[in-house]
Amino acid sequence: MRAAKRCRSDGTAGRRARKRARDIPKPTQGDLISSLPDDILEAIISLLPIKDGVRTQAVARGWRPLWRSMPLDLDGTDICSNKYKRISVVSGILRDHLGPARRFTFENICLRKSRKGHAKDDARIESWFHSRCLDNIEELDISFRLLGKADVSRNRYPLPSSVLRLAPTLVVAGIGMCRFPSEIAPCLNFPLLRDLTLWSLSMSEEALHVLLSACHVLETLFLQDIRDVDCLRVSSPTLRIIWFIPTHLGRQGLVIEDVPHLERLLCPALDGETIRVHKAPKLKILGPLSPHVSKIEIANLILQGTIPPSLSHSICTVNILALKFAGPDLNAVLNILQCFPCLEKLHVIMHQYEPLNPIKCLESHLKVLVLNNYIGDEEDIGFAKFFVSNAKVVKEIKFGVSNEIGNDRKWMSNQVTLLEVENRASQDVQLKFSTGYSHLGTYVDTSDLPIADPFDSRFNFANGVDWTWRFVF
Amino acid sequence: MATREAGKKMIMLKSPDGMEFEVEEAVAMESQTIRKMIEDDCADTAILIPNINSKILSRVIEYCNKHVPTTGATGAAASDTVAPAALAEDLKIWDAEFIKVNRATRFDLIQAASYLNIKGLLDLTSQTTIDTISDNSLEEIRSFLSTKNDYLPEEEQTIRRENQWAFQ
Repeated sequence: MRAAKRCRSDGTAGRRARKRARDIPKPTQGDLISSLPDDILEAIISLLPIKDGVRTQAVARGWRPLWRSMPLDLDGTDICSNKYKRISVVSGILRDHLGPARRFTFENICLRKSRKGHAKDDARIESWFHSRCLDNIEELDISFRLLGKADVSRNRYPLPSSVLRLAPTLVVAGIGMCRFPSEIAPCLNFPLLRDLTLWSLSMSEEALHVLLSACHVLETLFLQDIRDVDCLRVSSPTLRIIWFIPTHLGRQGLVIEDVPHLERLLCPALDGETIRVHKAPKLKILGPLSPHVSKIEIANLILQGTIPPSLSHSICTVNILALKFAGPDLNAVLNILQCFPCLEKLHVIMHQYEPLNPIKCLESHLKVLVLNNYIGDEEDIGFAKFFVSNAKVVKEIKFGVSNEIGNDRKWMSNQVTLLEVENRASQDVQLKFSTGYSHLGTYVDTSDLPIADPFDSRFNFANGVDWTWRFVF
Repeated sequence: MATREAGKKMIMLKSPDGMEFEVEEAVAMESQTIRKMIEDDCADTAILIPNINSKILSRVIEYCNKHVPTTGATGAAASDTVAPAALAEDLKIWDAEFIKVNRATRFDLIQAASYLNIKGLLDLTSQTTIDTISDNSLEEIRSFLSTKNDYLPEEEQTIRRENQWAFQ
């Protein structure tokens, strides 16, 4: 996602109309390149990778001023192989270059660890945003490496508030992996900013509010992993697109208060969050929603779990909707469709268990799984297969089956095939089939309570026919 | 070449050294400069192309002839039969061969592409120069561009030292 945002529209951006450089002295007469028209020479030099651009200063005297006065597109991310030296290299360029810089990108800025080195780097970063070269900059995209191992707020680099000096000319801005300054002047103004990305930031609710209020033409807002804010509130007269990816630390809500031009609300990774949309009368594209894990309120419409939404509320503006479910759940989909009478396109994503958001016991603890009253139909197989392919340390999966099928060896080996044990997550899992019927839940025998696992006694694994499959491939 | 079919309007291009080239209008209009002249009705009989000698002009026409079917209005027939990706790949190979010329010719082509405003040719010729500057040492760049190093040795050393990272 980040990389996609960085890509250049095409290879010819440097050939935009730039008249300013025409009064620059040309290289020594007589050489081939001096015979070229100014704008071609300018285009060639400005299209050079930055390292080669810097080197052209040493070709001959006449070349010295050329690169320095070309519009600069500075990307410090991989500017040199030593990640601790990149800050000083970027400082050197911003000091020497006459500007203007059109874009400044620097991902994963890495400060030196020693106290002295850190202080020096800190001062350099502060000075970047004061440099004349960055006057009139249109695009900024910076992020920082954590200052320590643990991903906690104190290990995030505190971004100097001097970065806000660039506000008047920024059109596109991305800031990530740092602590956003809390002291923001209330008179802050981003008159041109159209596209704002804030990701993995520690910032106060107040700062976010002031920042958004300072944007007067903002169209796209990307919010990902904003720390220290329980509820993100967004109001904007101009926003058209909101991307929201909540922080994985705690439950975070998003409240769209008044965004009259909002057309797209995209929230690809909801996991238990609440989204409230108070006023978005032009919302056209929405999703993917997972009503089973999150609560979504749009005006008076509430989508949550399997509760059928009230039929009296519907949203006529939405024409493209994406839904995410743990499995095919037609009733739930139909319930939701009733609320979107003008829908033209529907995406249903069968959401599988995502190892990115792991369930701890499946990763490291769950050793035994007992599936009582298993009949082996499609639904049962889908259910059991999930554990076969995701429970990483499980040793035994026990299937309690009826007497009729419990003796059918062929049925059982067929089941083993259908469970796709070749994709199992735990290499030494055993599958056991046993006959019996569990009444668990219908009554409790108090004599069962003291034994190690009272749920086990209801079942017949000790007495019945007991087929065990072990896998060695 | 099978491009000279009945009904296709032809344009005469003249180089300052007196050579004349008859080309299809669509081919000539690959040049935005010529397109403008034609659209402004300044191209009744022949168009004189100043500053571009016949040797370079013939190469430019060769380039436009090759590129017109994919970008021009007459391109429909060609792209119906050949997959666009294969066509683009074929053009790329052709371009790479086309640009294998000596330095002086390449700079003449850059100038011609610039004057005639032919974006594809300008990109192709400029990119080759960019690649040369990117891939070579200072000495090689100077030799390629016929540029004399007029720095004193200590001056050059200072620039190298100040930008050490770029010279490693």
